[in-house]
Amino acid sequence: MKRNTIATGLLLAFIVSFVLSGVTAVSTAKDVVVSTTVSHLASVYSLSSAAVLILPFIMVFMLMALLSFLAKQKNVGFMFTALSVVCYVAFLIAYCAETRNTSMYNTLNAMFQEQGLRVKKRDFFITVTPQWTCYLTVLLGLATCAVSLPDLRTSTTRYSLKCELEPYAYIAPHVLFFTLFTLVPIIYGVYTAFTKWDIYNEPVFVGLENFKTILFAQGNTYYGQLRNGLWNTVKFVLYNTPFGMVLPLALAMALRKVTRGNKFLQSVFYLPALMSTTTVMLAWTYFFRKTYGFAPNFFGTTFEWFAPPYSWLMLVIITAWWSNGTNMVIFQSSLASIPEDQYEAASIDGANAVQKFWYVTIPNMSYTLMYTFVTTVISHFNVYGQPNLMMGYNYEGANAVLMMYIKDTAFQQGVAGIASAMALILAAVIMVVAWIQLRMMMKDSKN
Amino acid sequence: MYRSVKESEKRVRIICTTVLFLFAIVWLIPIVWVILNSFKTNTEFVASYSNFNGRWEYLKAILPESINFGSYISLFTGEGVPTVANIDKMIINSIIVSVSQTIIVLVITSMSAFAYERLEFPIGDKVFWLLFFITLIPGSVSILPLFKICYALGWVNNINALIWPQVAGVMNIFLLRNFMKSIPKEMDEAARIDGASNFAIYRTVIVPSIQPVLMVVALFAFKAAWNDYLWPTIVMNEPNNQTLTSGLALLKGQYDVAQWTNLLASAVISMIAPFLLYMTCQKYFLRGISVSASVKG
Repeated sequence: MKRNTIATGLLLAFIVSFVLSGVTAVSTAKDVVVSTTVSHLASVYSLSSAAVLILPFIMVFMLMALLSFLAKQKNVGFMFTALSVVCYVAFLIAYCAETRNTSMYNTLNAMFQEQGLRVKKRDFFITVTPQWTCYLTVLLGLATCAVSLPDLRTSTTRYSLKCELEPYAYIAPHVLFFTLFTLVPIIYGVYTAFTKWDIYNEPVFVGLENFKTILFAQGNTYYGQLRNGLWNTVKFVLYNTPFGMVLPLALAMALRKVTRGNKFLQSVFYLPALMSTTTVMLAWTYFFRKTYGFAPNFFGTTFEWFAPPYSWLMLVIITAWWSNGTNMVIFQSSLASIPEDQYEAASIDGANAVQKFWYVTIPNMSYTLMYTFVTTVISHFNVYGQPNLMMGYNYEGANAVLMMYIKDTAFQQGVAGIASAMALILAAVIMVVAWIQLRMMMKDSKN
Repeated sequence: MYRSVKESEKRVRIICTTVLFLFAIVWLIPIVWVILNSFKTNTEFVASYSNFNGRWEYLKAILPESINFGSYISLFTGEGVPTVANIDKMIINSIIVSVSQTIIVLVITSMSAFAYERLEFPIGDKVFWLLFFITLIPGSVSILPLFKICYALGWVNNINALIWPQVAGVMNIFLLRNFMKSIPKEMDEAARIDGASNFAIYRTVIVPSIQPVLMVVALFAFKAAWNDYLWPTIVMNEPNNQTLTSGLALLKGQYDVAQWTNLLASAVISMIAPFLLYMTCQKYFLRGISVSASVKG
């Protein structure tokens, strides 16, 4: 048999053994011994300590090793197997050295309480030992490495090994951070939407309970919050997106005609995009404040600008002003890349300015417009800062958007499971809308 | 006929320039108002809006009687307010977070982009597009677990939580890759024939030639770090661990009672850093953006 096939088989055994193994946590108090077994997969679900954070990497490395062996890249497979073994050993050492892992502590403490014992936190000692399957896993991993070990005696193999492995070294830092801070949170976020969770402890799986509450339990606080928050978010997107597209496009097109002071004007219109939400909101709320603000006194208005319905107007003005720059520079560069001779040809055919816009500018910018349209809508769906800083939950949450409810449900009220479910619904809405946009525009560009 | 076209174009140019300059004035009013009023004393600020004698008086009242740095100084000394949030600590936090994050982003994303674009990497494209599609999943899902991860790492109320989680953006790699496509591969090969290693090619050939887009990525990364609002309020509980952006909301609570000019001054302070960075890389800005294919298609 080929060594590659053997290595693949051993790797599969390694993976299966990893999935099945776990650690035993034991604690003794007043001659009562309680113990629990925590499988590795269960500890990933709890994300309870720094040591546990190594586990996702082991899984990614295993997956990469398997893919490499299947693609007949034995050397790359060797590297990833070796990495997963090293990480696994590091995990075992770090995990067993941990004396106070929150999820283990909670489980063992509950077991003591069942027996009628109350153990003080400072008397609580946990001993963690790996099960025998853990050692088997390490052995299987080492065996996989041994079988797939490249022949390092010839210089050609060494050189080709270096060439094969080098790209991975370059992408490694980025992929590591990406795995830990983007991939794991996304998977975990989807999982916790189906759990009862207080954000600090282990989530408990409850199935569709959260979704039943927020989607169908009429009269429930969270039901009302989701509806109000989602509706306000959708309103925010609907009101702001037209201005977020048309104003930057108009400014970019006008700027193209300007020769003197072009750089200056561009900087002026880009300027607000450099500022933070808090700065922008501070400036505008003071500018339009009823007492001592400039605008209400200057225009002689007596109403409160930051109360509905005017608050929506303010949100649109402020958001258009603030986010204009980002899209404007993209439009500018896209406009600059349209060949001048197309305009000349159009003028020779007797096209007027409007016709040139519809038949030359827009088709040339179709890709840019699609891209900015989708990104603008997505960024508006994720709105948090402006409504939160402008009026928070005042006026019965007339401007409260879903991100505000998600954050406060999770961190103020400690109902993170519900918050995760809300977040998942928001994400689903965003993705569906983006997908519809892309589909419609693809169709348009084909016709 | 040619002449009339030229003349009409000139007319359009003049109209556009005038309209845009007028619009720019309106555009800048809130910023200018904040800057000018931050130089007033608090009593002067209140006085200028209490007796309303017609619009002209009102416009004149925008200008401070004299340039007064009092509100800036008392922000730092905490004079006359129960100081909970220190602006000097927030400024230091903001600078540490933004500068370190920008440097890390520049190093790791340019290295990744180099590997995907220029090295022999059979599965590179697959990996890249996989990462790219994962990032399209909206951030609302990941923000609560991200807190849990930082909690597990012991990073709640620790500045690490503001630096590391945000460094792995894929969009930046996308920009860098597209810019690298415009640099001829022959340059790499020439260097390789001269015996340069891949890292030497990255350092001496690629990095200098992608400078414009590196400046754009630096500006975006700095801006994102400096202006992030939601994440610092989640992961930092102590007022003195906030960045300037998230801390301004706390300052607002602290000074909102009667010290309005202090607040305006703090807003001005938070504008300075991104503005300076923009000024330094303005030269590269449009060029860097326009070469990336996210724009050109």
